[in-house]
Amino acid sequence: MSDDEWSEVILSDEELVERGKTGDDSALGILVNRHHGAVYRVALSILSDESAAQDVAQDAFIKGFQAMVGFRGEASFRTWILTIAANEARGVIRRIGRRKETAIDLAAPVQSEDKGPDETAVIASEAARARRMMEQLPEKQRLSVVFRIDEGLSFKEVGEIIGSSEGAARVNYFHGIRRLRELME
Amino acid sequence: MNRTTCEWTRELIPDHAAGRLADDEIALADLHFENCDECRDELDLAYLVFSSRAVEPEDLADKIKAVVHSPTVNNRRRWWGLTAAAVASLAIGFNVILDRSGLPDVPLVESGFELESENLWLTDDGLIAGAPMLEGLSDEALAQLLDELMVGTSGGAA
Repeated sequence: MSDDEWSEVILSDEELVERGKTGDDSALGILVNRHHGAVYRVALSILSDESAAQDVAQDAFIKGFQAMVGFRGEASFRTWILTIAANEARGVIRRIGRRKETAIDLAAPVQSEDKGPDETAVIASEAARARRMMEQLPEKQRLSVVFRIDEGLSFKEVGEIIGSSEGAARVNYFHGIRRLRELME
Repeated sequence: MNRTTCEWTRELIPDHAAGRLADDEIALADLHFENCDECRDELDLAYLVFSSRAVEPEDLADKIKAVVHSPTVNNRRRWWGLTAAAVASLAIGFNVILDRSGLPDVPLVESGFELESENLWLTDDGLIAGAPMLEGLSDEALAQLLDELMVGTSGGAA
């Protein structure tokens, strides 16, 4: 195992940030590896545009690393970079005026051993419908559901990113889930 | 079904759907799902949401790393660090001068950036002193600005 591979496994985000501040590019690369998927999905959930989401992901890391000297570690690096991505994405919407309403590439549902191809196809269809229905949720409810389920963020982290308290993030999540259930019926 | 048990289980549902729970938590939650259709339905929905999450393009990480590691960005990163340090030094120096003159605290005038960002979710990123205004400056311009700041600091202290 190379030094970089070893660092990728054992170093925490906080340690990588400290190394990044001293100009360690490999540390920054590991942070990109760890968080680019979540950053992309956050941008995509706000923009609904794959190309724009990639640009925002790129800009978020550039801005985050440029501002790293000011990172005080009060929030986790993940929350911090996701917040930058969310702000960048909202900035794009302000500039272009509205979200793009197009279908996006989704992960194929995993075919479990106890489900046949037909059932897997039904689940895939329902999953795609659920994602389309989510577009109808108010933004904070939609983002709370996305951050909590897709990324496994705590309600405290969700609140930090959407600019709400932990309690408000929890309420947004459960309202979003309840509304989504109604839309799916 | 017991309300407390439902509440406890519903907290776990997102992580259960995404396969992020420990085995003992899964066992406890599954026991509850056997007797609670409401929570079971919510788990099914969470599973649909998770299984339809977007996947990032395979080459995205490499694209980001290529830009982040480019000489231009690295150079800017160094200057941002130096500039932030210079601004911080100025702020400290200014504070010392104010303390010596015995003047009362004067509220800072809001910057244009803050005024424009009324609907923004503010972050540390947006609050770094001078960052928005310095973004378009070349390295030479930043160097000149830094020199002027340092001259201004030594002049002010004297």
